[in-house]
Amino acid sequence: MNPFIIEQSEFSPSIIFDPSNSKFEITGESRPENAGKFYESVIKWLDQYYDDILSKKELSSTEKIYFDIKLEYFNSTSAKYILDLLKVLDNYYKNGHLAKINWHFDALDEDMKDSGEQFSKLVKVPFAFIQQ
Amino acid sequence: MDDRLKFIDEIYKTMYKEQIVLSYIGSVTPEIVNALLKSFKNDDFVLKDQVGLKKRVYKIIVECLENISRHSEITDENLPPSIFLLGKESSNFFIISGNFIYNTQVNDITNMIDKINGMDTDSIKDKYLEVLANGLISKKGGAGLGMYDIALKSGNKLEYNFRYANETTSLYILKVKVDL
Repeated sequence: MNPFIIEQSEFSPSIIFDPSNSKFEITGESRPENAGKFYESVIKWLDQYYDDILSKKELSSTEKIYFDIKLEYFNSTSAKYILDLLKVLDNYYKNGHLAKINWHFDALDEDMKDSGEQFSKLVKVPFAFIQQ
Repeated sequence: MDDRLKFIDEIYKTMYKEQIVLSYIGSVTPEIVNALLKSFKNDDFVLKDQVGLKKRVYKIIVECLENISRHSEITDENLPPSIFLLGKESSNFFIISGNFIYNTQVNDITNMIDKINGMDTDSIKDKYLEVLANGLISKKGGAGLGMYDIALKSGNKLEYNFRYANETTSLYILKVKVDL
């Protein structure tokens, strides 16, 4: 499947989904003016990727998603969509595939770590907390 | 000194004395929200060496401004514009937002803030998670999480007031404090 890339702007994050390089990453600040529209395409791509893997029938253990979330900030509306995104990965994980969330946070921003911990309570997919 | 200069002089003295870091009066459009946030982020004099605290204040400013921007549905030209202030007191920063709302919203806002003020941090976190897990995005694009988020980042009780403007609208003032 072709990579999915959105470039970062001052108030919206960069998205890099590149399966051939095992890279799934969201970076920056998430406060897009229309969060619904922004995340709709992101979640749609992930759903499509998941369907693609399922249709291959041979479920290789190498088909893994290690998802790096490197957000500096997200507003409360984005929180809702980030959870939707995590649910797609959760579904993947619950169906026996390898998935993990790497939740990155600035050492000086304990709130961001706390936010990751809050999200981790709502899904089964494992979280690793990575201090930067 | 002519009256206009005297007026500027008074504003200067007041803002200096009250340690107002950022102030705005006018319509709060998404463009204005971006401009105010950029100004705060790029201001090297404010909380330069306190990254965590600066982020915390930033998050509250975002939620307050987006709240005004999202709910500024009252377009009565006779009403004064919205206001936003960021200032410093001896032991805390404060964020004040003031915008006009319909009088029919006063009870809901009062109940919500009083309820949050009556909760401890863990209860607010639980409620935040509950709304995050079960809430829906409103037609205006809000997730219903903003006030919980503000309360969590603030760590203080939220102060508010309503000033009756006319039979349909009131000025809703919210003051959020963040300890230094």
